[in-house]
Amino acid sequence: MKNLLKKSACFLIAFACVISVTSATVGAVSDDGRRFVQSNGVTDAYTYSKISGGTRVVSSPDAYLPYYVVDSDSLGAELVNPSHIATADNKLYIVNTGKNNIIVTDEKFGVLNVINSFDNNGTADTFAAPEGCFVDNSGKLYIADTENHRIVILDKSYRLIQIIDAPKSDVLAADFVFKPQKIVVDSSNRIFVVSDGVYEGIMQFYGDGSFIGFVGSIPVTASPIEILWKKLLSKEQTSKLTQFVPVSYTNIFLDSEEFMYTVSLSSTLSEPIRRLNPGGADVLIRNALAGTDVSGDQIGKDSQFVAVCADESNTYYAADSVRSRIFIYDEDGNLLCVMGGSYTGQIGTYKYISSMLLFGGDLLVVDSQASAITALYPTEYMLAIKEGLRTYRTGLYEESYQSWQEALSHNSNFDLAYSKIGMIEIRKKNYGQAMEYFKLANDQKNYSKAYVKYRSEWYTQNLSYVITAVSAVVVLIVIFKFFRKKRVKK
Amino acid sequence: MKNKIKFIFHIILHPADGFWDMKREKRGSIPICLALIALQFLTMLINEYNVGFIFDSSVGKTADIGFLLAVAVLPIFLFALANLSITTFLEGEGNFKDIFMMACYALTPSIIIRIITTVLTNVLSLDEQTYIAVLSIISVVWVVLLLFVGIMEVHNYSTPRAVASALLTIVAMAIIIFILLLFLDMVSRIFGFGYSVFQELEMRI
Repeated sequence: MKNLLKKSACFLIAFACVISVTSATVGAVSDDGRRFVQSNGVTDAYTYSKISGGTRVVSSPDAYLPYYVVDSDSLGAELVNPSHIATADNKLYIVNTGKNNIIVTDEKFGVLNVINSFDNNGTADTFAAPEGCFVDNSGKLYIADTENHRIVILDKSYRLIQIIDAPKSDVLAADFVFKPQKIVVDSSNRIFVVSDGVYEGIMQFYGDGSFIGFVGSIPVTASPIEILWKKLLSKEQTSKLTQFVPVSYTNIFLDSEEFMYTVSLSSTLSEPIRRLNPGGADVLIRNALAGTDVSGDQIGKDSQFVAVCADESNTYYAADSVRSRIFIYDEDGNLLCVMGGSYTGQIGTYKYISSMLLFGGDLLVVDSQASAITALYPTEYMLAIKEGLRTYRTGLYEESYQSWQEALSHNSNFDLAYSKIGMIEIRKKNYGQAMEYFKLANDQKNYSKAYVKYRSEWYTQNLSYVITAVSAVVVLIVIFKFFRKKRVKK
Repeated sequence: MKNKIKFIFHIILHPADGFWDMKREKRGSIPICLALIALQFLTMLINEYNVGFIFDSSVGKTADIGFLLAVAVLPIFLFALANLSITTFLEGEGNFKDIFMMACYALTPSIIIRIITTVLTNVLSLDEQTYIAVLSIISVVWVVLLLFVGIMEVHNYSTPRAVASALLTIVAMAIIIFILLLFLDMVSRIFGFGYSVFQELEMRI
């Protein structure tokens, strides 16, 4: 009897596995071609809270859900270690590092073209492990041809325009090796390149390929104790210490305002995510509510950011290589959600995120080690947040109010929504209401601002009573003293 | 009764005179001292529950009354014990009761100022937090000065000797805390050992 039960249990489990496997692998294309849920992947969404002592992980509603995975099978072309995805004109450009080509697809991941080679003055030239590309508005394709130590610029129909070889300059070391990895080009045709092993910052070129210099160098920071040691030790001893080398950038993203979001690997760097203006200065706003700051995971090992992208309202997404998590921050640096996780085989987990792209509202995550691209769609919760942020930025406060209320209906622990509603209430001059919302958001700074307004309003409304009360007290004291004197005199 | 309460204010405003009277003319009263400790605890409790949201450094935390009680009461005994153990070596004239009463009377400014700041946290905004900070500093300085003058008067010390004994008192307090923690750790280890022996026996038998 027991045996039979065991057998049937085994059978049931096996059956369940078969069902789940089939439901995860069957991938048909739905009517609109893209939004077809292959599987309910995992996201394990959470945020952090510093309220009530210490930093705690607070689970949050899913911001994005994976719905489609692009791999060699579903793409119909061999996809090996893709390291970058770029878009222009509703086309997607996948840098297929492992196969040394660029795959061009339409918005539904239908392959349009595979660029294996190009015509270089009569001879067919190929790429060697390219790691990055950029497409500008005119359709010009910039390819970081990493192992060939050059940048290849192709035109709309993939004909060669120009090749930028390793630059020669006084500021570069004699043994400098040019290994461009990521590339962006701004509207004035300046080319910004993240190159492997370059610590001086981002390499900057004119459109004609001449080298300008470095921008956005990361300052080297040394602790006072390290400086003291350097002073005390002899030269031979210091040469054996680890050197204070600035960290190099790992990825770069050009946002809609032509500012560059950059990420860099370092466990000692306090600002791994930076937003550089064209002059190279970091202009990222770090003004979050209590509980979050723009440095990735707050518990356990430090995050090592390797990919970044941003939308029009400056909400940015940064991917960590340590635990393959994606961090979503708003313009002020408030952590909206953390999702993803180390690869378990489930959809929504990643081995190594090498690039991310926001495409038509969806988030495309390129996993170079799993050789796959995961497409995620925003949930209603995330859509409400995005709408709230967008309308708040543009001054549509009534609409923003509605969006934040909707976000709260999904997540009543969402401090940012309370805080934003509080701000809107201040604008409506409902200071009392604003104070209540700031209290819910645990936002003491803004509560104080609302309170100052509330207090002065209260004064002006009750000034007559206050004056009456004070003068009544004064009169009473005078009368009391007068009578007492009289009595003493008697 | 009225005199006894007036004497508290006499001490905090004229500490040299006041502490002298407290010891030599026996004007100090133990019930008043206990009442002051109770008030210290009570104002701490009121502050914990009624501090304004803007100035609440423990938003969302739960109040630990036992901890507050310990913070209100233990330092006084700790100070008295440490000071007694130092001054017996340094020819101090005060006994434990004198030192204890001196420490209790010296708490008064902090009690009064805590009530004021608790009210202020509900009225002021973040821009005006300097007022509260200044008041808190005044409170600390006042209490420290009272304790110092108290040591001088109770033990009939000259100023340099009072300074030395005050510094040594701080060291003694640190040593007492250290030994106490060591002792507590040891006791908990002994209990842990006993418990694991008990568990082992329970498993075997």
